[in-house]
Amino acid sequence: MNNKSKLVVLLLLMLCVFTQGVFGDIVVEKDAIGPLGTNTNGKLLIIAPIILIIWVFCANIIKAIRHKNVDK
Amino acid sequence: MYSFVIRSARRKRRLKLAVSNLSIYCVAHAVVDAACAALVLSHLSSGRTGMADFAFMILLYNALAFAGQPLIGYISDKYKLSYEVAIAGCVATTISIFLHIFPTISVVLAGIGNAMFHVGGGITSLNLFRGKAAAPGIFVAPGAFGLMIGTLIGKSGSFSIATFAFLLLCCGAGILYIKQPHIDYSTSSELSFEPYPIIVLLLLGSISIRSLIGFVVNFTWKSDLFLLVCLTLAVVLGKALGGIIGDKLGWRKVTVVGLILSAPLVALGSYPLAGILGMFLFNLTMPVTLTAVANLLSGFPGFAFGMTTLALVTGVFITYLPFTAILSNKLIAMAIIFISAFMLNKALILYFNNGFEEKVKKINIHI
Repeated sequence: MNNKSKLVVLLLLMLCVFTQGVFGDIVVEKDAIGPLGTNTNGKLLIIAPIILIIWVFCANIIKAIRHKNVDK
Repeated sequence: MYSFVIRSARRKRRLKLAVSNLSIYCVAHAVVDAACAALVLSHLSSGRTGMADFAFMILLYNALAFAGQPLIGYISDKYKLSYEVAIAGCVATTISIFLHIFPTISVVLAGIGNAMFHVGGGITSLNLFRGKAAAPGIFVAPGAFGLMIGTLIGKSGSFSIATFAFLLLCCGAGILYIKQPHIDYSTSSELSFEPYPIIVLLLLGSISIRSLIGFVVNFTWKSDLFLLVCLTLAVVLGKALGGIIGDKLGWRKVTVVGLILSAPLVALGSYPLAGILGMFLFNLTMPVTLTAVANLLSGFPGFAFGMTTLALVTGVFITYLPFTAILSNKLIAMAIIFISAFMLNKALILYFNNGFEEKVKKINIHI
């Protein structure tokens, strides 16, 4: 399996995970949050970019893991 | 003959280890999730917070508990911590309960505690039968049950600090007491992959997927307690059995077929039976995707577990966006599930056709 294939597999799996989000483990009170987080006084707009930054950070960790694996 | 006896004895020991670990971690998982949900929701029912603060607390809790897991997972992997993190999670959650009179502090601590417990439990479950989906599936399953109980308790205003604190500390002590499995932190150049396009593609994926989530949470009949329990049990069983059946019959067969069958059932979700069955089939995929991601990020089980929960919470945050209303269209929901099934199928074809499973097995044998 070449590197690109492994990456594609990982991405496809992660995308599948997205669809599994709400069925059980997460506290979801949509009525409380409101559409576009209207009930959160705009604080959703603070948290959402943080999640985005975490994604970028994690992508860099994955990059580091890859290099660690290759170096070995 | 002699080697057969040795193998048999080893298998028994391994099974015993797995049963003891899964038993305590499953109970602890339900208790931790119940405690956190009850704590968060009790802030509103007790009148300590208004609706705006409560909404923010839910956001904050979800962000910490789920988006925090990759970071905690990475640190755990780096310092080779597993059960220690789970115990710390139980303790942090206990402290958060005692600090309930300070809503924001308690929610932050609960989120961090929850994340720590999940990472610790995830690392352990992924290493009970390495490369297999059964144990992670069983570990993940009781979370839904705990959340349901916690939500009911929190909303009813009958949140008991002493009871939850006692249960959490018992769980922590139980984890400390049992024999821990050997955790595999080994890496291999055979399991490496290119990183860069991951950012762009995952972001695109997070946008594409919200429809299903937005649709499914609208089971109006969930207000009936009996049906809510049935739905929760379907989720629990789906996750628990998904790994076991997947390992026996093949990951692709079970998960892709399960997803395809779930699509029309979820679309007919206004009928409780269809919705419940659909959720059961839909959740069969959970342990398989989790284990496959962990195998791909071999040597970093905590981080891998965290990546899947980061994906989960991203999906949830997307449902807060304004255009989710169009997703109540059942045909769109069905289409998204089919797309998801296609993606999973493609991923698993690539996974197996390239001998990835064999490489994981080979590495595990050498440990």
